[in-house]
Amino acid sequence: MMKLAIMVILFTAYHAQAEVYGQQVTVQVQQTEIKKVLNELEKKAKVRFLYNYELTTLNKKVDFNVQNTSLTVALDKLLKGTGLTYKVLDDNLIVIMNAGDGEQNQSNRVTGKVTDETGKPLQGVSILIKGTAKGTTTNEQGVYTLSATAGDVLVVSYVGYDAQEIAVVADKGVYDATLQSGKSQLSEIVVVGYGTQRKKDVTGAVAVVSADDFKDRPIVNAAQALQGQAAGVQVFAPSGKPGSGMNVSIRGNTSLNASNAPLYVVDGVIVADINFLNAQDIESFSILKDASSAAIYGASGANGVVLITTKKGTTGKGRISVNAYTGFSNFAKKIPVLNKDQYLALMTEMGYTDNNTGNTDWQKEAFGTGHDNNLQLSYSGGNADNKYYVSAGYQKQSGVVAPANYERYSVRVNLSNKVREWLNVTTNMNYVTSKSIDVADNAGVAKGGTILSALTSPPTIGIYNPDGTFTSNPNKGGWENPIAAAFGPDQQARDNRLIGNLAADVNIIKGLVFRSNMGIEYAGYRWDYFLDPFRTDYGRAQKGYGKSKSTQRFVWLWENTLTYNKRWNDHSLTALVGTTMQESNYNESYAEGRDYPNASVGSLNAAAIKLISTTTQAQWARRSYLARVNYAYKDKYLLTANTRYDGSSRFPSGSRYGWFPSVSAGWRISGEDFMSTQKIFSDLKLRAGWGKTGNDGIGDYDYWARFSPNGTGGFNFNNLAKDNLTWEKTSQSNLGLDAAFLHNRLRLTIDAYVKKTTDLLVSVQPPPSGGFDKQVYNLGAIENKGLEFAVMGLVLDKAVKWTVNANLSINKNKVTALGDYTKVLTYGSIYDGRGDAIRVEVGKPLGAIYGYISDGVDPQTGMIKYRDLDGKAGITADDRTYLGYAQPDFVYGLTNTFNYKNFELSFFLQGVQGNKMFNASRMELESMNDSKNQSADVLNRWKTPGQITDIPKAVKGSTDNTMISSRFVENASYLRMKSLSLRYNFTGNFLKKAGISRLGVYATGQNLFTITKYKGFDPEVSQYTDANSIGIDYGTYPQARTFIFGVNVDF
Amino acid sequence: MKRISIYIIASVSLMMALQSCTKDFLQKEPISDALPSEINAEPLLTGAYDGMYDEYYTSDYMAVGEVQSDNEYAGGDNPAIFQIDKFTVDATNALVQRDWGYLYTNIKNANIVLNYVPTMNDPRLTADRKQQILGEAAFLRAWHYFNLVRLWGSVPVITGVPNNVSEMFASKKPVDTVYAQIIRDLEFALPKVQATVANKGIVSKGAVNALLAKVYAQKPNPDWQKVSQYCDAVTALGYDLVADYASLFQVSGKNSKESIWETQYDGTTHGNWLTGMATPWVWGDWKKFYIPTHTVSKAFDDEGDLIRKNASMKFINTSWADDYWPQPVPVINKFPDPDQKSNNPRLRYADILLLKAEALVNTGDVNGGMDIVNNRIRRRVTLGPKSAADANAAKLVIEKERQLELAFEGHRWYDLVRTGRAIDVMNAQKDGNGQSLGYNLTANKLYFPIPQNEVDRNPNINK
Repeated sequence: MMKLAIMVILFTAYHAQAEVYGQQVTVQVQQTEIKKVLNELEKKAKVRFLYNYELTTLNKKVDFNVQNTSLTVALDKLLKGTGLTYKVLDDNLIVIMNAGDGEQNQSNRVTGKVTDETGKPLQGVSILIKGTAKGTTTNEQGVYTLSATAGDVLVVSYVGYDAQEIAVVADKGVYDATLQSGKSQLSEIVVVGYGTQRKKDVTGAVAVVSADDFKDRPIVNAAQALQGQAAGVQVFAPSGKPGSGMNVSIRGNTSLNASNAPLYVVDGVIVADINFLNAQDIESFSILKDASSAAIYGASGANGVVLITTKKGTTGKGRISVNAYTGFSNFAKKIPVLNKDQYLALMTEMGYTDNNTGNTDWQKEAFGTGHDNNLQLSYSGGNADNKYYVSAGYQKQSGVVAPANYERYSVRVNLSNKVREWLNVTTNMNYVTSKSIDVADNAGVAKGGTILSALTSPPTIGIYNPDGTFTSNPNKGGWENPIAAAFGPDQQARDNRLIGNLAADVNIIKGLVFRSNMGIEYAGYRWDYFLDPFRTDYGRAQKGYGKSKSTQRFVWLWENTLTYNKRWNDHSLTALVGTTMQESNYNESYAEGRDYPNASVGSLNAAAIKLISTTTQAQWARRSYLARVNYAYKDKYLLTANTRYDGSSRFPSGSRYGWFPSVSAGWRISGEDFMSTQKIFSDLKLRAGWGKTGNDGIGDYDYWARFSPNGTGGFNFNNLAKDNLTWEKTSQSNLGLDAAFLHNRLRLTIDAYVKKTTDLLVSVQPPPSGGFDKQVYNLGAIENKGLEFAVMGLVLDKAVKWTVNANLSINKNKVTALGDYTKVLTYGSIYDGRGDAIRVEVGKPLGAIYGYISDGVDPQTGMIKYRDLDGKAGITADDRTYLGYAQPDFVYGLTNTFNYKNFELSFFLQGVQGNKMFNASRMELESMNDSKNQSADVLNRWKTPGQITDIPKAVKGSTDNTMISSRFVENASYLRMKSLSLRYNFTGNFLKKAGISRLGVYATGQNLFTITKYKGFDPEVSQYTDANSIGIDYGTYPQARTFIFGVNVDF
Repeated sequence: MKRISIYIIASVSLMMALQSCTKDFLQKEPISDALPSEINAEPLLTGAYDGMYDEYYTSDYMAVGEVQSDNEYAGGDNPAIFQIDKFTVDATNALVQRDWGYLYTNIKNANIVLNYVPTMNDPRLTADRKQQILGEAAFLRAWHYFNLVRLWGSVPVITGVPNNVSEMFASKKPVDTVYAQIIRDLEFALPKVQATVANKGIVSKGAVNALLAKVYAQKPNPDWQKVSQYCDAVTALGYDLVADYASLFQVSGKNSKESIWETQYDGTTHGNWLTGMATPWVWGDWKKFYIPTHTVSKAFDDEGDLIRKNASMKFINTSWADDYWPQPVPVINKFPDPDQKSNNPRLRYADILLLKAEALVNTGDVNGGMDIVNNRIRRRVTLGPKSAADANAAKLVIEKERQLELAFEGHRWYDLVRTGRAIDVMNAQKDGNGQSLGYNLTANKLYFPIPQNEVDRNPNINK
């Protein structure tokens, strides 16, 4: 009977919601049917009206004149006095109906005002009675009125804000609402691979971290923003050096030798890392954790995908933003070492003589105060057709250990232009140039490691000799003081990046969009090193030493996708097919020379002897075909299916392509009728998915039989042909639950997963007698199982508002197979010649520490007693066993935010629990076998028979007491106050007068304190960055404690 | 609906067409490496020779051949070398593991020449040159096995090229089998290689004969007739002692008539960084890895052998304190060039002459042997004649003469092992104050254990 003509226009969801109310419309007509006016408005405002054609009122002719008026105001005006009203649905649908349909009982009128956090009225907010189609919207003053009865629940929602539910307690009354701009609202748009989805439609495991979550923190490396913020995402800093990279792993490590880093996609451009990105340009991170969401990236999706969306312009008056901060940093911890007298006593005991008389505190000399400075300027804005965001940023981080330094300039231009009715072009361009100065770490004093030099240089010496050269250990020339290690070499690295893309969206006809996206990444890197011929021992011996390295990488990516959207009755369907091509060209040159006549020119043109000069080139390419279907029935039953067919140049033609399918389903239980009367859940959704993803993160030419030039006229056959080398495959099953309680005040997400990686790409270590070095084969398997919990709660919502955001992830990792002939693989070499500390074996997790069990100091001999496990006489290699595991039992993050009036206080705690670290630094500090200074703990060293102590005796030249043993395996669990931040947002008329729309000041402390039993500087470090050799600390540069003061101003 | 279908079909066809316009898009051949079809014989041989510049042949051979003996102490800060010095090595010792690896890598590179070159279609390669290449590679393989068998005893014998890792699980073979392979390779090489060469880095008939002599002397049951025969063959090629002993180790004295085989260093393409490990002249004045012993110093002094002592070691004041010597500390002087241009002598005619003397003594001609020692070796360095009452005394004289003549050239430990004197000599070692060094050397420590990484990765090694 009632025919509803439903017309649906399909846009990518990305455009849809934001434009409903933002549109300014201009319509001037005389004596025109309301129906036709609505048609006009549809065109102007890009919305669709739904109405019953039998509504005769619509045929009434009216004079209608609006100019640059918002759609809602225009509609209010148009429908005034007609007895008609309207209701806004999702996806730009607006229902026109008789007012009586929505307001049956005029007597039960509830009313209220809806404002944003700053008290500004919000117009066009949807007010809906839960479980019904009854609703209205707010007017220009933010006021709404509708009829409701006690027991009803009002759902107040507005794009870009968290929805709120208000219980109606009396038939009449005033119910005001303050909406919070938020990220986690159910109608929030989530960026997924090759498109966007409403969060409520997502069936995979996707975590979102948005700019608000890290806004007041001094983020230098964009990955820092992810640490502790998303369940299932583990981030650690292998080094605290300015500008150093972060290790990111999503749901455990799936690979032994191929890459474990997630795939990073910035605005649709795949990039190798995100170290260079200016975090303040980032709008949000979408982390695709499970296979069903990542499978659309089939290739390299096995480690998860991090989609980064940078800030875009929004409709409205142009906005100028300034964000600046300045601050300082230092090390939170000092390790007590021997003073002059204690040191000399130890040296005398071992038979060394040292006639120097100084008493230098090397940690004081080497570890100073770092400085952090940042300035970001941006302007953004636009209209319905053209939007822009342009920013320029400057960031400088001077390290606690001078001269370590990182300095970055970045420029970004993001444009979106509607060139034709049917054509929208998106342009994103980002240029970043950075300069960094390194100080050597992760090395002992013998190899120039600055951190260990600061701990082990004798207190007796000063910085310089009388002739201006650097001092070194009096009993060991070449072991130079930390200032020499840091300042001896003059070195600098420069990194230039250009990433950008140009994407055209062509609306072919309604529902069908063709998108072509061309992206590029250019990376140019240059490193120069010069050791002058005078000040250091090695420099003098070599008469100066110079090194230089340049690399260039150019990657292009071309993606073509076709998206079809259709919605009919209770069905909604989105289908996507596409193709992608990607190619990388890389080249590298390296040169080394020595013998410089003076220190005035350090570049290699001044070196008399050229030692090395090489260039190399490499390429890789990928080609893919992809398809996806999203289907929803009544918004309650959701299904997503993906498939991708990927080819990689890294595999031979016979095994080059792989299929990576996935399927997932969601059930919005709260949408069921039987749930409409319950009061507990405001939302409840069950998700389940399975999928397969791949990894080709190996060398570019591993399958080829290769003869490599050795640089001196010869060629060596080093790489065997592997005709069957193919994709490493990870199958993952995911079960998830999203629940919201108490009118969305408490939200909970739980995910459980099992990931099985097969055809593991392993760098097999052949028997040395085979004569070949490592060869990459598909063998073995790794399993990761995990549980993730994320909780968001609005604990208090009074004058003081308190929100809590917590997450906890448990991941169990196990190697389940290593093929037919590989028994063990070893990693993590311990200086010097003590062997490898990390062992990979079937049944054990990655990062298993392997060595001898120390049974403490023998009171009779003063030597460490190692446990004899094999029963054979003496301590042999067979007495080694597993001593601990570097992977934690769980990791967690907790953010608390308090708002009171204009103040905002937030603190962020982050921790890992249950992991062990091999503290090789302590091995250096308690070895007592040479003339290094030692930690103050060695004051308890064994001196006489019968003495009970845990520190053995000093034995010159012996490493018997410092073998790889449980003596140096420590609990590295920690809980860290990652960030504490206090902000004040100014309000008041003076801002308006000054033309300021927003002004905030803040102070933030980062890494304020760390609760840990770990004895080294920092439990969150690693000498090696590969997943297979984590868990070793060897003089690693620790993370600094940073204090910053900042200001944001918007004009 | 129909219109949509047409658009979809058209768009998808367009995408597929764009995608497939580059057919070989995923075929990326190595740019900076060569494929088997692109490789020729000469660079493979050069690649095999370059093993002589690896860490084993540049530096570690000093640790295993001299530090292990009574000629050198371990210095530096490397516990793995301390273990070698003190006979406390185990299967995880870094040098034990890496040197085994280097030697087998070098054997692999020789195997590649020997397996690939015979069937290689290389139009620029003459038949003669092809034979030379095979001969030189066979010599190199024999030379590496000789070092393996001297250090480890029973080792795997690998002569082929594997196709994949599963073909790399070889069992160790008895010492005799290893020596048989070495001799087979050398006999194969002898007719093929050049008779004489100007660049003594290249393998010639002199080198093959000299190595055959050394092999027959080192075998568990030495064949002194063969030793004698091959020593004579070396002499017949025209080698002779140079007059000035010290000149042998100077850059100006490279490739002399006394030199049979020596590794060439030009300081740029190949720098002899042993000088940096043993002296302060390249890498600075830090504690050096190889320090002459009081024993060898005293041995020179007891003979009044100033010429060879000064050519072999030099006393200098160091900025570091040595574990065994007060200031001044002696450092090795046989690789003295600060620009890393000193060559490493591998086979020298004096070595062959002394082997000839030993062969004569062992075959009953004590006087003939002593004649070489006195009139050839000692006379050159202006030392008076020694006498020996019997063959055993003569052998001891020759042993001492070899220690002084060949000091720090990587021979001493193997001499002590083959004469069965290692245990007696090493356990009698004393420091500068006359205190025993307490080496406690026993027969089971004369050879290194099979490296732990080989045991871990090769299930067949002990089968």
